Amino acid sequence: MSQTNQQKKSFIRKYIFSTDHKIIAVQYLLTGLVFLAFGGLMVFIIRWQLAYPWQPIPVIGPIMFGASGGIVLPEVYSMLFTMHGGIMVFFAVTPIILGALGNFTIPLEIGAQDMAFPRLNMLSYWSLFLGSILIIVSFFVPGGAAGSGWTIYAPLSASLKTSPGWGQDLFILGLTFDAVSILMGGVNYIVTIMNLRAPGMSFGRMPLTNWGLFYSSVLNTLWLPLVAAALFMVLFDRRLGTAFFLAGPLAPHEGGQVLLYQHLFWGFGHPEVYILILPVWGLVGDLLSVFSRKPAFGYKATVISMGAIVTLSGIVWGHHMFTSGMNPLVGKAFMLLTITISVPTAVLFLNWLGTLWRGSIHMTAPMLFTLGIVFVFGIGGLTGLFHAMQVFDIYIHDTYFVVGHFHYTLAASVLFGVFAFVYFWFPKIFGKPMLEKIGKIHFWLTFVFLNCVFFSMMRVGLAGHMRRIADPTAYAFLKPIQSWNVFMGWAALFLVLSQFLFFFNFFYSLFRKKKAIHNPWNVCTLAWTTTSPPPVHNFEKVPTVYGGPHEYSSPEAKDKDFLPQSEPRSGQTAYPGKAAQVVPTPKLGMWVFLISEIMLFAGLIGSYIVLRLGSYDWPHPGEILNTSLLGINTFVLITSSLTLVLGVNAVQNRDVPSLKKYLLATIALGLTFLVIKGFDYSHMWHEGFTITTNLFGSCYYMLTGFHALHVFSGVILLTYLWFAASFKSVTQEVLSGRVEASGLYWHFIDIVWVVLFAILCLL
Amino acid sequence: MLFPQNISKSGEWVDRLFYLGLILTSIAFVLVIATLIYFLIRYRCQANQKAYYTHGDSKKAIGLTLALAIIVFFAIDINLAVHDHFAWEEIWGRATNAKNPLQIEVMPEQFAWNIRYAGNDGIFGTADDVATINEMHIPVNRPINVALKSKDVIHSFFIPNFRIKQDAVPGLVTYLSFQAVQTGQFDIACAEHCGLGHYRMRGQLTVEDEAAWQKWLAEKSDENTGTENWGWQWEAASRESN
Ligand code: HEM
Ligand SMILES: [Cu+2]
Ligand SMILES: [Cu+2]
Repeated sequence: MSQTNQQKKSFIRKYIFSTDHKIIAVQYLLTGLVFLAFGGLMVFIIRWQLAYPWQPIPVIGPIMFGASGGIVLPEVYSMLFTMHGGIMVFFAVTPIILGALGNFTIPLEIGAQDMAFPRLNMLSYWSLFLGSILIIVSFFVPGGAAGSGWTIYAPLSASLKTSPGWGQDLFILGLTFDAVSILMGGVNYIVTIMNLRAPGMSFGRMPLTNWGLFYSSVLNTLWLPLVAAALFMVLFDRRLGTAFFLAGPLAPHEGGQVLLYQHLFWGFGHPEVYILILPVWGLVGDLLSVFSRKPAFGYKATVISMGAIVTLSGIVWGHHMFTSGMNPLVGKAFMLLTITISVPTAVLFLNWLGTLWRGSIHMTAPMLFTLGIVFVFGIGGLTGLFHAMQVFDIYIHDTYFVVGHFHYTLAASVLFGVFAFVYFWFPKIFGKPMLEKIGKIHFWLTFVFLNCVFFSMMRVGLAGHMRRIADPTAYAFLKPIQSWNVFMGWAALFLVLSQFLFFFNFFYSLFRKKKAIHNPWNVCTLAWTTTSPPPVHNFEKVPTVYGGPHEYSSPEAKDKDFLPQSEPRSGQTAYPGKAAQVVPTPKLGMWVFLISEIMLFAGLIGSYIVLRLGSYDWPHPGEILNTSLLGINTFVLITSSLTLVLGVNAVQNRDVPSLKKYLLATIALGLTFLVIKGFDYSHMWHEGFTITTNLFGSCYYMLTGFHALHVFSGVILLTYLWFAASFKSVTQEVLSGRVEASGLYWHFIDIVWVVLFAILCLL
Repeated sequence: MLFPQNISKSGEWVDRLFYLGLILTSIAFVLVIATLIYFLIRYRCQANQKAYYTHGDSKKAIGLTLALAIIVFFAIDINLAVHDHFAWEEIWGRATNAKNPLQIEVMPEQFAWNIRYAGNDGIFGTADDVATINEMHIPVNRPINVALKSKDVIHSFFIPNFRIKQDAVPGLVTYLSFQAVQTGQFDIACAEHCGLGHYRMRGQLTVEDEAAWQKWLAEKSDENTGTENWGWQWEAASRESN
């Protein structure tokens, strides 16, 4: 019955350029798994090098490093840990946790037929795909892949003298495409959850996984643009000769601030940990409930605690910079902020224990991984306290203690989250069950070897073992612990080998005949009421929701031990109606996008202000800039906002001819702005004021250049609308929604210009 | 034991902080995991045994959860933060109140430590300055103040035996203080990834008694190594940091 309403589409439309969120989820999943395998292989080489420095890597060494006789050279070692980190975080677990888990479960669990913007969703995957191609290509360019660490710290990364070659640039570009992909996904996730919930699906009835995904999309929307701004400036420093993050002999001119990069990076970098762990926490909450056959204990407290962590995560980044030379008092503030995260985290743990308490616990493979997460995140969270203590962190910062700590929180917890997700959702995604026994063996082997490696990392970290060093044996104080490195080498080997069980299980289950039933785990949520795999638009009929997501062992359930969300309750006649769409879908999407844009410009403008305030001899803007020309441009842009307001008015009055007229006027004004801008640039360039002249020049061209790029995209958007207004296929309502959303974007661009004009000319 | 040999006057404060943290977090972890395992065994699914249907969101349950979380917060987090504060006072206080400290300038570059002493006149930038590469000698039992600034990328001056570390940043002078209580030879390591030679950016620290150190300095002084002026305005800057 499921396939009948499915239109006959070509293979390419159906599986490659699909707009179906379920297919896109599978694309994300497979991409992530390929990179997981890739990153896993690299890590084995890293550990083997540390165990037996400068000895050929057995078996794979001669194939991969034939030129050096199978030996890892120091420059290759830098690439290995850099790309392992970068790939694991951005191209392995992010695509799986956000891309696959998010795409697959959000519409199914809230009873939507697809994402709010299916074509944007497709674009989001292909943006990631493009990014991954760039990452892979970067290994083969002269000079090899990036080697400045996944943190891309300036100045090491920001100067061609210290990071020559194209590997670093390709890494940054690859990350940019990944970031664009994540942001597009974030717009979709947020808008879908806000606007497309089925009747009766209030926020309080959403599964915790969806809450986690919602929260992490919020964090991405807010903080990802910040690191994008920082990475753009690194690219400028590398290729355009600016010096935002360079100082001292490496810098072409004065005034750059090295530590500014770190603030921007960790402003995103700390929330990133929560971006990945929040959906996993949600998954833990849901799965513990399913497999204890008991409602999630303290659902509300869990949701609120997760929200508190989202808030706190944005203001603790300084704990990564205790040794950078920051004021000790500031450090103390960051220490106190950091430790307060313990309170909501403790609530989460207590609620998980509360869920198990007096349950009826089923030890399935996904349950084992879920319990594994509680274990490893327990270690990860508690070891975080050692880093929060300023005095102690000064000793263990940049040692393997950090590496062990973040592998427990980021790698182990999220990796187990990936496995729990796959084992649990596989039957729904592919309509085939996985092999339980092999899943359990896979868990135990992974659990044991993973702890062998990660716990030992912390042990050698206490001995002072620095991270990112290719050869520990050169140091007298590390001699006594070299045997731990050997131990980790072997444990890493077995850890990597154990994963073959998973890949075997995955592909064997995928291709065998046996079919999964619709609800093999007896889950209450909506996804499990439809077929496995679900039909194209998920539900034969949009379900109505009558109760919470965790009604296990409910006394109301008659013939089974759970009460599906879509099953009417006795004595319940009315249900909470469909949540009103406070903001219509296209507009909401634009708002979410604009928040990202605001944060991008906040990053760029904030950097400018910091650089400006830190400089002693700033040139007088009035003597350099052509203020009257800029004033005229301000006037042009403000006028264009007015014409667009008239256009929006016209479309609301269903007056399409006027709309087209006003659009044309706005486009013309936008182009005028760009032409004047171009004139301004070429004039100043001739006068000798270029992007490399001084810090002011760098800031001026960077800020106004980014803005001009936005005006240009705005003009393209408006041109598209002008054409769309002529199409018969675009209904009045759709057109109106799009014009209004584009209007928001255009006004935003104007406001940015006014701000830029003010601060560039006056500050 | 777990740490490298401690030769710093205040290093044991750092170690003690760790052991306190270890005890507190171990208690928390063991309690959680023991409860977890107990529940897993006790409430393992059995025929005809239904789970207890509760949402755990009564006022009582939420109050209890929150109360427990806050108790944990005070017992562990605040406890550690307070001890961290005391340790900081001890280390920082010792540094700022140091009498007659020895000033040293360190300017790392890829991949070596440039080290500089003021020489006999105690003033940097004069002809009798002593400059060495990767070789630092200090007298035992005398407070040492190091000023750091990098020549190229970020490096991090790390001496595990002192439990200290400070980034050296281009364009910025940073400071570090310590005091040895034992003589011997120790490693100086770079803790911040600074390029492909990061792993071999190793310096030698020699702690010796005052007389031996004076002798070493005098010998080096005759070699006329430190004529270059790094121009860090060390005095002005160190006054500012006080
Ligand atoms: C989901 C899985 C994982 C993630 C997200 C992850 C993440 C990271 C990150 C972000 C880094 C830092 C890279 C850098 O310093 O630039 C790193 C380094 C490293 N990881 Fe992983 N990792 C994962 C799995 C593993 C596994 C399974 C192992 C060991 C068997 C491992 C061993 C290492 C090692 C040895 C380093 C080098 C540390 C250094 O030299 O500083 N990682 N990882
Ligand atoms: Cu952090
Ligand atoms: Cu270095």
